[in-house]
Amino acid sequence: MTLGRFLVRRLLLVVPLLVFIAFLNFMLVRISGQDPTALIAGPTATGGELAMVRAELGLDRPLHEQFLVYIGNILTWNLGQSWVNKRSVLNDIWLRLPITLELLFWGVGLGALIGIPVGLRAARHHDGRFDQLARFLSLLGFSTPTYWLGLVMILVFFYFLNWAPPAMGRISLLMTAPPVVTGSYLLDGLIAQKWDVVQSAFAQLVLPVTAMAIVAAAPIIKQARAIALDVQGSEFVRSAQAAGLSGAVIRRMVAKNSATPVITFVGTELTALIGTASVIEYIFSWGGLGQWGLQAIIQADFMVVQGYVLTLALFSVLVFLVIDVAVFLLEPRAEMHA
Amino acid sequence: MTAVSLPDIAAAPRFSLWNRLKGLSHRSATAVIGGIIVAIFGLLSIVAPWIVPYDPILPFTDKLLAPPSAEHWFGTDGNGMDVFSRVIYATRYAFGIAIPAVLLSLAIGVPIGLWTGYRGGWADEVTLRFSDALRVFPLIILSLAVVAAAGQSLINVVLVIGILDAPVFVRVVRAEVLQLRNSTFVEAAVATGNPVRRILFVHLMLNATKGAMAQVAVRAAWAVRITATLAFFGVGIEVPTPEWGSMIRQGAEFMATGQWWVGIFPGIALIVMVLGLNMLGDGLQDLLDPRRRASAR
Amino acid sequence: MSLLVVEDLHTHFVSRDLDNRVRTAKALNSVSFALAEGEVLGLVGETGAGKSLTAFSIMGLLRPPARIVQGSVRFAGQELVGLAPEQLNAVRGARIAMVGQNPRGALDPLTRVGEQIVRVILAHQAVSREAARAAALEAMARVGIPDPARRFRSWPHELSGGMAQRVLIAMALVNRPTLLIADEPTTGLDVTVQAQILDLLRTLVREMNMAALVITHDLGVVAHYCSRMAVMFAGRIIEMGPVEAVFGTPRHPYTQALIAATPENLTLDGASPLGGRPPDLFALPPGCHYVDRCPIATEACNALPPWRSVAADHGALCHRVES
Repeated sequence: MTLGRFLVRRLLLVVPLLVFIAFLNFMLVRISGQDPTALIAGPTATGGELAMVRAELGLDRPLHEQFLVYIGNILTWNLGQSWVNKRSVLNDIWLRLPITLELLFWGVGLGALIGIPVGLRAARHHDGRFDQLARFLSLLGFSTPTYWLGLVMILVFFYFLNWAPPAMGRISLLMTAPPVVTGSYLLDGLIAQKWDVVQSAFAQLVLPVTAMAIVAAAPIIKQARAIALDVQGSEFVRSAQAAGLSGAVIRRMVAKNSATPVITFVGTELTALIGTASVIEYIFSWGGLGQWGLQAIIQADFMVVQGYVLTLALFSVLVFLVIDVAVFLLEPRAEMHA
Repeated sequence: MTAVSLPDIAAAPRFSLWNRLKGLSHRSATAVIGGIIVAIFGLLSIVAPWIVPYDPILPFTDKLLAPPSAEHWFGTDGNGMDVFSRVIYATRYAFGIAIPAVLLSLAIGVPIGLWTGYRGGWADEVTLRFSDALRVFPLIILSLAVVAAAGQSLINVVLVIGILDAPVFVRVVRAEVLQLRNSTFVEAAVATGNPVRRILFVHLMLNATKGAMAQVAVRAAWAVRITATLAFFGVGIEVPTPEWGSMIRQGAEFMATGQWWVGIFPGIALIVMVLGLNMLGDGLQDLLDPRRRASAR
Repeated sequence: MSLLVVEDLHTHFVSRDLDNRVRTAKALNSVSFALAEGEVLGLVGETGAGKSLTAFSIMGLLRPPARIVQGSVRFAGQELVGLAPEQLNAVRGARIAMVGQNPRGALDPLTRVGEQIVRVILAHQAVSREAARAAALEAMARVGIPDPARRFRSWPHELSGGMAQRVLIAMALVNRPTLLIADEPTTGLDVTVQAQILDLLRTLVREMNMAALVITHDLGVVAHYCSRMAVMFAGRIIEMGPVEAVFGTPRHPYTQALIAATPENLTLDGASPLGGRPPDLFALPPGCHYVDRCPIATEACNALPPWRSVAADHGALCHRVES
């Protein structure tokens, strides 16, 4: 099977998924039972004005028509405006998405960089001291609430030790942001060659990225270990031992055969981790998509919540797609699985 | 050459709880430690009213934000309430929400898993696609959004956690049923003319829910965690309620100003409880994993 | 001089049950045999008799909870039991090679087959990559793989079972071992391919003057390819001798039953003494392990039977055999 045919088949599967996502999102506002009419029309609106706004929003039509309208809106890039501050939801998403992705990228990258080798090593020393410690730390990571971890880091590294800057956003309040190219202050600072900006952006990144990495590493350790144990138990490892291949060669063999399932796992885990990133953003006043969305949930601003949840779901769909293509390209046996 | 001397099997004692515990902890120390932690928290939740030094929602208005002392072991919070008493009392909310939520997940997930696994066909396909589709949403965010939308109440918290977590049990039970479906005892049950309902709920359920049972502790850990997360964001639980997440929410304000005890202690209690449940679940999965069982034969 | 001497080998699975009692499955009990240079010994027995476990014990491939609790394995005078993996690796794959069951599962799925052969060469010989590559291609041609240059670049999943087994045989032979252990090398292969693989193995063993330990449950394989045979039952060798002698005058009742059960000798009358369940390895009878199924057992059989020699190189573990 060629990559083209694979992609077509894979994309066809995505269509019903997207409809489902849109439906769930649509229902989110319905079950809230909130009528945004009054919020949008303002406190002084007359009955006629209310009816006009209602018609404008399509709220006077039957439910299935409203759903079709919602789908039509999505397809025409119309995600509505915030009930609270009237800002365009789509604009805010474009503005804030890169900010979240930067945190996610460094956090998950660091988490995987720690988690995968630890998991593989734990599997190698199955039931040994290192394995037990790794398993315990992984369970501890699973059990630690993200927001509490963030708060404790602020307490220790800002309040007690004074090593970290205050957790107020992505750059020191005293600094002007560099011109936007990528949306990441770190990269934009490098491009503009403003070293003080780079330094400040880096300092602001350290705590949230570390928190993100800790939370990301826990499931990665657990899964990488389980996958590697599985590979180690397979017959070809025993036959490699029988052939007298050295420990190093066998280690490489196990790592290579664990790679595809581990990458796939990290990809699927990104769904949960972008949720985690939101919580970390909230704690560190990061100002990205997550903080924006969580605030909207707290304020019951459901037009924003809709856009937020939709973005997260689409992000996952895209990640799953990328992972599938990557596996198809990397794995010699992919044709058999497809 | 080495000759290893081994204890004699014949000298083995009769059954005793102590030996069973030692045997279990040899197989999975994790499960035993986790079980002990959960048992201690369970005990605390029952005896909480008799052991806490103060009423958990009694404000000492002259002692706001008092640091830990002999009178108030964990200090007092912004309302002057005793943090220690509140931390202990909060175990009741943890169990009070996690137990019904997991029971609800089981009540939804097990029958659906049994039925779709046994019958297959379009119902199976739809259920599978549905539970796969749910996976594109981060569960934390979805729970927060749905509870916020459905309205803030403890009942809604239980309902949302229970419903959103049911697919886990559907998947586990379905997978086991698929393996068992063609086994001899099911064929025998069909051949002797048992109705489908009976086959599912009598013959398959006991055999197929083993995997689900190991998941129960893990999902309970998740339920406790997500409850606290909801409360931390002020979704689902009202403020003076002694609940860990809501206490951490209050403590968050004081974290950057140094009154750490308000948020630290409930956080530690939450972690230990969730860790206990996770250890129990992880250990149970090890004990029930056929591959591990085989290697310990 | 004997190339391989296995002496009083005991391999047990030691674990604890839920009530913290130590449970021991005695999988190998006092296995002893020797193999001379260039000799082909067949090891037969039913599933669970301990044939493969004997091979794994020799090669140091046991995984917990299985372990050697007693005994010795000497290869060319060197003790292998208790060796560190690095020292063992100087022997495994170089001087003792193994060809196993399930050839397709035995190949690393993510490495091209030629590279896997090269890897084994480079692990044991100080040669250049190019030399190793040439040697691998030569070995592939020698085991009858058509168009080795093309097959060199194949992925394992592209090979048939028979072709994969040829690759594994090539891999086993590239370092010119003096002992080959073939552990049911034809399991799962088509019948026509089975014969090809066995003939190939025999040709190579003769050409390279290797000793071979052939593990099988198929008496036909033993009859055709081996010079001596050992019969295993419940972790013990219960009869050993030249193939003609054992087939001609089997001494142990189990061996007699085994030979009687081959297709050409099958009769329809009476219960076969082979039909019974193998004994529980956790609770082996104190005397002869075959006592429950033996048609000629007496009181004496509840004591451990002695090894009775009937000829210089033929004997059985049975009370009822006269020396």
